[in-house]
Amino acid sequence: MKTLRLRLLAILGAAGLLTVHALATTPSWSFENPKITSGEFQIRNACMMPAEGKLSRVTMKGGQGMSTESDNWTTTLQNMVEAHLKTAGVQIQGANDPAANGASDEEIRQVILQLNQKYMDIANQLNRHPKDIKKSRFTLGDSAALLPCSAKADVLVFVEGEGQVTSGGKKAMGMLVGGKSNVSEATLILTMADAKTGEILAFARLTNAESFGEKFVNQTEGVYGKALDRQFSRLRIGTYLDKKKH
Amino acid sequence: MRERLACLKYAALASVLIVTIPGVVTSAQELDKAAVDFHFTDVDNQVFQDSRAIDQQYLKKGLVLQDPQLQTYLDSIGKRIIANRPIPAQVEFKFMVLRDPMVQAFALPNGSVYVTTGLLSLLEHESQLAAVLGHETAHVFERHGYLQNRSVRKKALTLNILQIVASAAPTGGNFSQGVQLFGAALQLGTAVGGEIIVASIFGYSREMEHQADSDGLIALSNAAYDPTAMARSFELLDEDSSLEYEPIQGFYRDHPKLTDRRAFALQYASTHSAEKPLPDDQKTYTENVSAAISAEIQLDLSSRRERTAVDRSFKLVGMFPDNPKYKVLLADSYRSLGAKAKLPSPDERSKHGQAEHRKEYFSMTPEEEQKRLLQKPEGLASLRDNEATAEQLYKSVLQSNPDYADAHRGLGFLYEQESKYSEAATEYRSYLSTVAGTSMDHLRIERRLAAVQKLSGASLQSH
Repeated sequence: MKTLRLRLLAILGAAGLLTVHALATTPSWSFENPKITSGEFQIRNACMMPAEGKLSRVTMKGGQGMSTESDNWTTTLQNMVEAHLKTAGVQIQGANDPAANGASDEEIRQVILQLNQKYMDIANQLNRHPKDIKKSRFTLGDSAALLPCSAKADVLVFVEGEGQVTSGGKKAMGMLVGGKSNVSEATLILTMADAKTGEILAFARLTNAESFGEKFVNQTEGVYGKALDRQFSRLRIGTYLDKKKH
Repeated sequence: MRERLACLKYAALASVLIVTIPGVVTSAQELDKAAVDFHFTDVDNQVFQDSRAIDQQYLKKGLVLQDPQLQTYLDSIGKRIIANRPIPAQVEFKFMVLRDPMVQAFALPNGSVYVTTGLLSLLEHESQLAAVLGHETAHVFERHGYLQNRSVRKKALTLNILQIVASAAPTGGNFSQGVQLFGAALQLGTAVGGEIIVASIFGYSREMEHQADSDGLIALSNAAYDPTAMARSFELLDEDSSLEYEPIQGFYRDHPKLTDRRAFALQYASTHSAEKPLPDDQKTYTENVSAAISAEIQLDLSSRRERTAVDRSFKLVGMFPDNPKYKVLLADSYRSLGAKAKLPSPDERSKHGQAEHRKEYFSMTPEEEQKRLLQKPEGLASLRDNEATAEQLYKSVLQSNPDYADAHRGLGFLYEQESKYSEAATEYRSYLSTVAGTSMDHLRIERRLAAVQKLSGASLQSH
């Protein structure tokens, strides 16, 4: 009887651990234009658009903003993606970098704003039919070339993060009543557009859900690092292209 | 015995809820008192910090429009509206313009009042802008941001407790029929209670809006503006909403019905007209906010709101017919319309038409939408008309200002769109020689020039 109970406990423990592990993984999917994977379009130089990170807290008393944390998370996401691109042998420029043609910071900011507006506009279709990237269906238009960095860059990189931090009380409630509110989750979205024509060439979503803690806030690299490398390898970015050739 | 205990347990929970629900839903009636008795709590301090963070974010992202003339104008109206009222603690009034095509205005609890370029472009007179500022500053004076946050927190907690109770109600087959009936009644009760709370959140918000309208009207009269301006601003909001399909409902659409608000404003104005109203001509207003309208047109063109862009640039050209910048904006707007008609057809304005438009907006890219329009004779006719109007406008600018670079560029885009490659190349060359490498756009135009030269060579060969 005792052995049976112990066995049952062991099975339950293992199942619990497996569940926690499964919930804390970072599943991802991506769609890309065959021009990239075939090596016809090579990504050696990237222009980073300012990242957008938004965190919110869900508690028993409703939603709350996390403005300071969002700000810090935005910087973390931007730095992380830049670091991984650099590791992949890609040269990085910032979309905000001063222009050789003497354009003012304000002028550059306005171009960024307009590009973001266009990006948001096509996001409606992009999110619904990401597969159509293969058919070159989505474009920001050649106003991408207004950015000074586009002179040298192959792609513009958009980094977006959206995370929901669920409080302990709300998670406990989620476990009691069921539903999705028993996890904290965050999604990192990465989009690459041709810096000359504005065509969307790659779109990736890395999602992370955790029953315990919110590692995606403080241990962002640990949560997304490997998944990012896998994505860049798949996209044959920078030196990954050379590695495949050999 | 077990069943009786279960019933007693749930009956206790149900009675707690019966006591708490009315408590959370009646608070809307105590708005005035709440503002007077207001004291900061930790929750309010968090809201205050969040407001400051939002301000910084907007600035950092370049969303705040920086134009000295516009800022001075906005500040002067704002000061007039808040004059002679004691400023509440932890409030510093700042009036700012946000680059956003949505027609809206909002105030943060720390006193930052934002009006969007979309709203400024829609309004016609200074008094209408003053009405908006009167409404928004009232939210700050009455501490609505903080009170709303407190109220929502309280109600969200009650809603969550209701959900827990509902999930634990005894409804399974293990219980007797009587207990099951009790469980079902409890579930029904919690569902109804939840609905009441959700409705009360909106009700509380509506109550605040009504109070802000009322205070705004008083502020408007005190500042010697014509109070009927508020009613007119509601009319404008209503009229404009049919011009484009709005994927995100604007702020003012969430407020109480515009027709009711208009009626209320008119009723107030009938008894409180200013003895010596301030001079309020449309031209002065348009001149002062022209930077916002120009920025708005660019945003409209980047966000598939070409009809709005035409409407706003038409307004600018109507007021200042000799200004080449505005004429080029109008020409750009007509060119971007492509096969779309300048105004929505009666069919597009109908409920069915709106639904179709919404479907198209979400399922088609701008290029696909144009292609679909061109399959119809009306679409082809619109394209011809729009392109002809744009060309005429560009040419009229170049007639009086032959070196106006933006007109050359726009004409180049138009000719390229019409597959007139050699004409496009000529215009691009004129643009590049005028800006002499100093424009942010020279790289794009150089690329386009190379492309059209190639195409024009190919078309010559094919001839």
